[in-house]
Formats: sequence, structure tokens, C-alpha cells
Amino acid sequence: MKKIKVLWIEDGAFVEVSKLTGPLYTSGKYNLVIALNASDGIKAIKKNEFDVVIVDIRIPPGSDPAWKGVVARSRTDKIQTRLGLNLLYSLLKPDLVKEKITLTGIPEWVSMHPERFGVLTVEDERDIVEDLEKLGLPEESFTRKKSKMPVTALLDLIERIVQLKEKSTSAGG
Amino acid sequence: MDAQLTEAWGVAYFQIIITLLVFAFSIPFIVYQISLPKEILHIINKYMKRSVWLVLSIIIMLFIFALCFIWILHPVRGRIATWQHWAAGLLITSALIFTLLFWVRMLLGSIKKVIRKLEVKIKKDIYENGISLSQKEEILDDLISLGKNSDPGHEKRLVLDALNRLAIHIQRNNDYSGCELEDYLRSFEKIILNDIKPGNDDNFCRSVEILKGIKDRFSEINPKINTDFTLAQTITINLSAEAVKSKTNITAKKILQNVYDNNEAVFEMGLAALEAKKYSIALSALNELEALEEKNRSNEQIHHLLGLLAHFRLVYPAGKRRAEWFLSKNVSDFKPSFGECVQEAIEFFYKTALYDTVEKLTIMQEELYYYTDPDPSF
Repeated sequence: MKKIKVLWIEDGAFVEVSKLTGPLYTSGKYNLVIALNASDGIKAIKKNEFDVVIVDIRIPPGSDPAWKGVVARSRTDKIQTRLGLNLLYSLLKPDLVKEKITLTGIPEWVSMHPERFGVLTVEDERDIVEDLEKLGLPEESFTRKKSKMPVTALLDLIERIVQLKEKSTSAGG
Repeated sequence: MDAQLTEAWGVAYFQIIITLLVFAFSIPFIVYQISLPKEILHIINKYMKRSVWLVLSIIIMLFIFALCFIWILHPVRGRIATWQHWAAGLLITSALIFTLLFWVRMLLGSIKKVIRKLEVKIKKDIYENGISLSQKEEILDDLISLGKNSDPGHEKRLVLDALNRLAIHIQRNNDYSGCELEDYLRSFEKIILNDIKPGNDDNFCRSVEILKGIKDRFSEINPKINTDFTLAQTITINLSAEAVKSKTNITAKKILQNVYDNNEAVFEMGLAALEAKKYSIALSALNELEALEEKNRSNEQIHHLLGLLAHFRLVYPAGKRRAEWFLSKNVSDFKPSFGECVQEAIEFFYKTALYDTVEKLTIMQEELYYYTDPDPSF
């Protein structure tokens, strides 16, 4: 049984939302890779092909000066800059991104399979619905982080995206 | 009539100046001597001598200047202070404050300066004499000793970063054959795992990152020998297992993300986590080992996977349930057969003297006899 490869770009993955990983590991179906910031997320995407990529909107830039520059130019912090959205735009719709970062070496599977991407964030869906539409991400690929969300929230989101991916594969085939 | 400059007056002024300068020197110096361990002081004093003399010379010159200036002044009764009095007073006070601040600043930054000095010396020696250790063993020993005796956190990090830069410098040298980093690599354990001043969480993470970088560079450089690679693997295993035992769960999980390609490190982390009852870390480690696309019985990763599964089976019914769930879904993927893979794993751990794992694998082999049958009927 081949494991489903998941990338989770989330700076709180080992801290405030670490409990969400338990069900994934217990299920045994997923190979989870965690990136704590935008730079590490992009590095992971360049290195491996993922079946599912979950992105948090509020992530730190990491060590890459290009991402650090975006935060510096916005003159705010990671919360206001919403770097996760910028990352998604840079990967899926680079023409629409406001703060353009030219990403090189991004593998083909990213542009060919946008249905693999999802968002797990504290933002209300209403606040980012426009961005989700522009990115071509359906409602099912979004989950809001709440203080009393079920511990299976991440697992449920991944399973919905996997189903979307399978639908898209069978529709294309 | 103006009062005359007398010997008594001069002596009194001189004594005051000397007393103030002695305080300006000695207080930070005493604090410095008390606050640093003697092993570090010895190394700092060894490499900072020239700087100390330079500073002393400047101070003495300033002192003489101040003294000469004072000699111009005369004690006057009843007269309002002239600009010379104010200037002299300002100069003396400034010289004293400058001495105090300069000395404190120099002493506070001395560890960083010495580390930098040692790094530069080693690089200079590499340039002049090549990358073999013989000429620079003493300097490297001093750097390691600094790291070993420094406080966990920022100070140890300075040494680790210096070792990282040196490792990169050596690996990028054309003469690097794959075995010149032995002493540099062994220093990580001395700095991080010593009983008196072990590294903190950040030091553990940073060490594992550096070791990973050293191993990753092997694929770029492709040297003839891979001794350094093997040693870096071994030290990574030791640090990772210790991180599970003595550091926070967050640190252990961060390290696990970094060592995913080192199946022995993942296995050891899983074992250490089970022993420490840190089941979420153990489960993360198991997941890393499970993420295989082809299961080949000669692959060491299979042995480690089966070994960890065997341990899981004997950790409460929950662990057994999780392990057997995986086996039920994947048993047919083990080639040529699950039974033969288990037997190979038993032989492997027997040869490496991990008898506890041998015992648990043997129990798994006996209890899951229906899985080991070459033609499972389920």
C-alpha cells in the first residue's frame, strides 16, 4: 500500500496544532512532511512530488531573502502579510500575485494539479473567499482553524482533497 | 596670591588618579575572572594577549596625558573654576569612563572574538599546509574545548557555526577525499553530549542540521572515501536518540523531520520514544519507516521497520492494533515474503547485538505465523 504524501506548511505544526498530526499517523495511510515557513515549503515542493499540500495563510518567511523581503516591504508582521496566500499565488497563479516572487525550479505537477492544494487557517472563509476563487480552490479544500476544532480536522481536509484529486483524475481520464 | 603646587598636592592628585584607574581596570576584570570557567579563561587568555597589551598601552598613554594636563592646574582658593579646570575634569572623567566601558566591552565579546580568531587560524593553516589535521590539532582542540565548556545556547551555537563553516571550507577543498573531517565530527558529541554543560534544544537541532549538510554535500562532491559520511550518520543517530530522551517533544519532532532519510536514526528515535513513553514521537518515527514504496528484504530500512513494528506490538493493545493494522494492509508488499523478511531482520539485529529487538521480532514471528506462511490464506 503506497502512502499518500502530504506536505503541511504550518509554523505551529509542532506546537499549538500538533495534536492534528496524531490521527494522520495513527491511520498509517499518510507520509507527512512538515515545513515551518515559506522558504522550507518551497524547498520541499522542489524536492518531492506531493499528493496533497496544505498551507496556512499566516506563515513566517524563513531564510530565503525573497520571502523576507515581502514581509519587510509590507512593513507589518507575518499575520498581516498573509504570506501563505502569496505562496499559493506564486505557485498556482503567478500572474495574479501582487508582491511578485519569481520561483524557479518549481516542478510541473504543481501547475498541472492545483486540486492537490488546500488551506488550513484561522481566517474566516469569507475573508479569503475571493482569493480562493482566483486560485481555483473549491470550498472543500478550505478548513478554518478554531480553538475547539476536532482533532481530525487536518485528516478530514486531506481526505476531501484526495477525493477531489481522484475525481479530477477520473474526469481527465 | 595663588597657592603653589606642592608635592603633597601632586601626590594626592596622583593617588586619586591611580585609585580611579585601578578601579576602572580591576572591577570588570574580577567579574570576568569569576564569571567564566577556568577552561575557557585559559584559552581566551592564550589568544587575546596581544589585544590586552594593546589596550593597556592605550590606557597608560591616556593616563599620562591626563596626568600632564592636571599638572598644569593649580589648586586655587576662592577663585571660580576656569575653562581649564572644567576641561581637565571632563578629560579625566571621560578617560576613566572610556577605560571602563572599553574594557567591559572587550571582555564581554571575548569568547566570540576568540572563536573567530581560532577559525581564521585554522583556515590560514589549511591554506598554507593543506587540510590534514596534524598542523592544526592544537587549535582545533582549543575550539572544541571552548565549545564544551561554553554555556548552552548562544555560546555553544557560535562554536557549532564555526565548525560548520570549517567543514564547508574543507569539503569544498579540492584535496578533500572524504575522511578529513573526523575530529571535527567527533567534536559535536563532546560539545553537545557532555554531562557538565550539555547543549540546549536549539544546539541539538543545529547540530543535526549541520551534520545533514555535511552528508548532503557528499552527493555533490562525490569523494573517494565515505568515512566522514558514515561518521556523520552515527553521530546523528546518537544525538537524535538523546534528543528524544532529554529534550522537548518539539525538538525531537523537528529533528525527526531532518533525519527522515537516516533509517537507523529514525529507528533509534522510535525506540527511545517508546521507552520514554513519548508515543506521539514513536508513531511519527514509525510513519517515516513505513513510507517505503518497494519493500526489498535486503534493504536495511525493512529491518528497522519490522524491528520497530515488533516493539510497537508489545506496547499496550493500542500499539499492537496500530502495528497489526499496517501489517494487514502491507504484508503482501514484503518481498520475497513477509516471513523471510522477518527472519532476515532477526539475523540483522542478532548480528548488531540488539537482543531486545530480536526477542520482540521472534515473538511477532511466532504470533503472526499466518503472515509468515509463504501462501497466506487470509
